[in-house]
Amino acid sequence: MKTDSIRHGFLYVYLAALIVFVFAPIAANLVFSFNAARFPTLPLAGFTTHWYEAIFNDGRLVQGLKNSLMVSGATAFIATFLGFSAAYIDYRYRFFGRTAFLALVTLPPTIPVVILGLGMLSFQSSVGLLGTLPGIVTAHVVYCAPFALALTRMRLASLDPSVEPAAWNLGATQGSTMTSIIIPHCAPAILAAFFLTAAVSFDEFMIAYFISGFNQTLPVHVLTMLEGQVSPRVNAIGGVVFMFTIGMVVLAQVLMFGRRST
Amino acid sequence: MSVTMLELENVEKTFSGTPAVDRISFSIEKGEFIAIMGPSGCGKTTTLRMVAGLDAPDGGDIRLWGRSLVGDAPWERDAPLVWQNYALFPFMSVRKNVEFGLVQRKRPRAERQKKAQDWMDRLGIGALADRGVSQLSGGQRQRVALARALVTEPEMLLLDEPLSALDQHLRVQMQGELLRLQRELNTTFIHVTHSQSESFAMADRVVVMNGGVVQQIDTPKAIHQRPVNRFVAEFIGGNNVFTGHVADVRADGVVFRTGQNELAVGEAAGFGSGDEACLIVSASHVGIHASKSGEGNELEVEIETIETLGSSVSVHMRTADGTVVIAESALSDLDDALVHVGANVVVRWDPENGFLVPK
Repeated sequence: MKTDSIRHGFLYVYLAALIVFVFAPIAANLVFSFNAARFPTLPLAGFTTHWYEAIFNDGRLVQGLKNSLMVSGATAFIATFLGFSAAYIDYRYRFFGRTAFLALVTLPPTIPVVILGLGMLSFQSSVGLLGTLPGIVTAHVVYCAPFALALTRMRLASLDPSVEPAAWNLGATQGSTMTSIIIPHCAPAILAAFFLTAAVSFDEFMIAYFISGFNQTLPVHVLTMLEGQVSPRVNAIGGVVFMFTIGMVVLAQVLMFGRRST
Repeated sequence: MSVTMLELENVEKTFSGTPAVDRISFSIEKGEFIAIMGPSGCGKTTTLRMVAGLDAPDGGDIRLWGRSLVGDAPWERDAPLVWQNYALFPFMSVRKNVEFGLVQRKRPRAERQKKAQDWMDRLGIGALADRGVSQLSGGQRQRVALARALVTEPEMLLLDEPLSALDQHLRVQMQGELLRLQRELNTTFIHVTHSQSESFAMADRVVVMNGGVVQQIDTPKAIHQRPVNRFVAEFIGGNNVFTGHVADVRADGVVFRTGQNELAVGEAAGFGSGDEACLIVSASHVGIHASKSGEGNELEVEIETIETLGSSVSVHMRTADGTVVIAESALSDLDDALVHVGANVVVRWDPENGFLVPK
């Protein structure tokens, strides 16, 4: 009994330490983004929203944020569509090379992003997409679609394979079966995939760094800013990005697991 | 009176080189309750799926009212299927599940709601209308699946082992309900099952299949009394099957030789001397006696096992040369002094109660 409670206590301390380790930098970032002092040092100098005002008054930063939002929205839409389509193909059809097909579509996130970015750079420069927003969207779709595939595939796996033929048998055409059975069943996973891919794209730095040119997304712009100076505005940007991303991921989690009972 | 509704003609289906259904032909009449019975892998479910349009035949034709169905998509056919695992739509309420077929046929909302409610009430699930299907028991799911299939009032209903997941008590109850429904609706029911008791209890006619081939099509009674071959005799159970050959043909029947024994067979039309054959004798026709009487077919046997099957008893015996003989009788008719394991007794049956089938 005694050793058990000691072990429990130790595990709690360990877990707490782990959480502190992971979240301390983010918390510090948030705290210093409201700190009036120029440099991130203790003691805190006083509360201010000055840095937030500053970043929203910086035209290039706002443009970067707009770019990021547009890219992540478009990426999420296309990647979710493609990911779901691939998951459905995997659910519905048995064909030669199915395993190879799956391996191929889930490959991109396993490739080091530097390699992926370089590949995109040379490919997009030869097809004239380099430095354009559609170019960044294309690259992000390649990187994000496998996440959407994984989420929707998990949901489809819980659908009895005879449900679809049962709908046909009751007079539903293939199209009608898709809209009345498959998509409603997968709706939580499809929305979760949308928010998750939006978050991944919004955060993604390396690929965008290689191919964005003058149409910089927010993370790329932040780096160019940091190269010149260390400004507390970066903390404020961090706060904004963190809130957006964590919001998307939490939404995805809630949608995927919160409605599991249905 | 009887009208042919559905015809299967030389229907074939091959899965990766192995024939699942091998040129089968039979026809079904309007309002008939047909059971397709056989061991797993005999092609019965494939046959049903081809009627529903879920598998396309590789050859032959399936005709409904004389018109070929082969090119029709499943959603163009009016042959709802009750699935073995029910295949209910998981995220919908009972009501939405039942309404599905009507929604797909674009029936007006008022009609949809009325018909769905009628069918739910008729099958005793009216009170569950707004439940999710995951909250239902097996028997309730079964009823939802039936209501969902019947709500469009189809002219035939396909059933793929729908009772196999239910416990014994519920199964017998559902058998009665299915039969009653079928009589009331006069809908053609095609019921696929591996269970002899299920098909014999409900069907007007039974199609016995094995290895993708139809073995026998007849009423349950006729199949029980006169199985056409060794497979059917063994599959339906309760039969003695002796392998041997015809030793002699006489005016009143033939003499059949199996092992060391010669047995008289009353009826053996079409068999000549020397033909290889199987002698079928129903276990219920075999009597157990203390000694020989000199009449009928008699064999000296030793009792090996005695199985009590509810109100009847199945006695397994073996002759000195290893031939197995089974006798069945009512529990109350059994003489305990005579019938016990290890006892040496004589079995007897009349030559008219045996018949020959091809080997």
